Amino acid sequence: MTQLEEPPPVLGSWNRLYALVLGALVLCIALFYLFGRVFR
Amino acid sequence: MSRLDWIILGGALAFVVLFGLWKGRRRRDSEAYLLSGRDARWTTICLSIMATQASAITFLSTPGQAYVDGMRFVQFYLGLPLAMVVLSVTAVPIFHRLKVFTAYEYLEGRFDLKTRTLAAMLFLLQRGLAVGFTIYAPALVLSVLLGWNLQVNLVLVASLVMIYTVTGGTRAVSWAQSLQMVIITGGMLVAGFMVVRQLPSGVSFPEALHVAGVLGRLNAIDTSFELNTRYNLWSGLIGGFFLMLSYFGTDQSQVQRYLTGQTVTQSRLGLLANGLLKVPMQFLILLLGVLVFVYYQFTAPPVFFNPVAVAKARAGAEAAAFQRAERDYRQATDTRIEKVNGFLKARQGGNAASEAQARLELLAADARAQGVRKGAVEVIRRSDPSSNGNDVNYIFLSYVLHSLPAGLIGLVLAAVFSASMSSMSAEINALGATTVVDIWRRLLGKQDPAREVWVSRIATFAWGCFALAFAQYASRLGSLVEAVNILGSLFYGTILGIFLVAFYVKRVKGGAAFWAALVAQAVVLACFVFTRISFLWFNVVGCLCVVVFALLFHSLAPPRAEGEAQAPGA
Repeated sequence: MTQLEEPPPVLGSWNRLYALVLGALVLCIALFYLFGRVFR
Repeated sequence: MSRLDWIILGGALAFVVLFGLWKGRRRRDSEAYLLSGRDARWTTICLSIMATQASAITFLSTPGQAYVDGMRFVQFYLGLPLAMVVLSVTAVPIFHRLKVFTAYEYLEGRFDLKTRTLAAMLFLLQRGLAVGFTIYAPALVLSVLLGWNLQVNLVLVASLVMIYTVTGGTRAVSWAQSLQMVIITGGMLVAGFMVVRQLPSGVSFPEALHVAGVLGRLNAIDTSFELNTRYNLWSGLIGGFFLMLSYFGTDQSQVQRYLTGQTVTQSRLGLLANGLLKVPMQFLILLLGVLVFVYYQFTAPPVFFNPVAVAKARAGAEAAAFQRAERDYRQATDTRIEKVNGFLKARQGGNAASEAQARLELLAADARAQGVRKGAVEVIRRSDPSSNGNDVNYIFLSYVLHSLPAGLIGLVLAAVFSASMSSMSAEINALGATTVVDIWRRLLGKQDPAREVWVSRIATFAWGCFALAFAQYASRLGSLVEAVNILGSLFYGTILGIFLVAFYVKRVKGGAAFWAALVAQAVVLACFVFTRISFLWFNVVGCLCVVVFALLFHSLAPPRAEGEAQAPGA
């Protein structure tokens, strides 16, 4: 197995890890938006 | 500052310098000196990337920015996680496979020498200027604290950084940064804890947030699409994505951090961890600024947070007008304190009508206080025309010095200094590497390893001195954090465009890419001078111009003129 094909140590595939990072971003935006709304 | 503060500050800084020296000892060839022997794990890479980006500017200006403008600045970072994913997919495997020392080295294989040199020169220009801001911030801290000469402070801070960076190279920088991130995180957490603790008894954390919300400081997400609005969701996601892609993918000060990775996996994990942590971290730093803002709703703040400017105004030709403004401001803030307490009492009473009334009265009192402050700033400007009337960089510092107990002041200042040192060390380390690898080595050919290490040390030292010289002008450029980002945005789009063409438009060759980059840079500079477009969009404009003009020049050029095809690196 080459270095490029090596899977990440968590979640099994790089695509899942990328999805985790992007999902966390969407969650942050949603939470920040709600944060502003709740305390406005 | 108490003796305990000095001991903590001095001890922390001395420990960082000694730790860096120890970790960076025995670097005998350029790969070990410039890339730490490519032995870093993802945790070190992640901490190093975060410490490089999070300069003292981040910790001085960002809370002040939240105090003045609310939390909308967090949107600037929303494109970062997207950029981390794209770089993990594209740039990291390419750079690792080619075993390059700098990002620009790749461009010669893909295009030609002149395109590599152009990209390297654009980096040297913008990063060389930006590093001046990086050391200005902590020097400002010392000069305000001790009344020392600013130039002396700059030399002191830069010298500490250069001791371990010049001696130990990238390994010293990376390990010192890991330690610095621990100090930074500790300092910021302590400051956040203390500001909540110092709110009046009976004012809970949620109530503090309600006060901030009513006064418009919790505006984290703005969904409106306005090109002239500096920070909104779209400029953050699109413009911020291009800026971060360029910063992390083409700026050697960041590329060098993940080129040190043992494997592609370690480099990717370092970048992705940064993508997960950076946005929440910026949110928390801005929240700290908002909490300082709330703290000053219950304690009368100074009319202007720069004590030097205030002292000048009190002693200058406009002294009477300034004293009047200070008196009016004190009355206005006393009224505001009364109205804030009235608002909280109305909220606790649970009567919607009286709460709405109290909210209106609070907003009116705040508008009055802001109006008086604006007038006072005008007096300061009239009294000292060299003053820029901007105290954003002094707000957090002022809170720390006047409100934190002995010991904690030293800890927070150690965090600010650590942040500044970590960024400066990475920047002059990268500037030295680019100078040696892309300019010196390219002109003279590969040299004896020991000699290259010494030339790298000299180049690093020279860039440190250049940064010192430029730092003299930093005080005239308003909010430091914005000035750095504006400066970066003028060049990043073009550099990113060159790399995007290199990665994805295989048919375009060196000549077309080179001339497209020059035209794109001219367009970006014209936008900066002649339009009012928010600076984040410069990254998009520069990048798209390079791609479009490269395709255009490629289609116009006769095949022989473009016959300088190189073996594609990608």
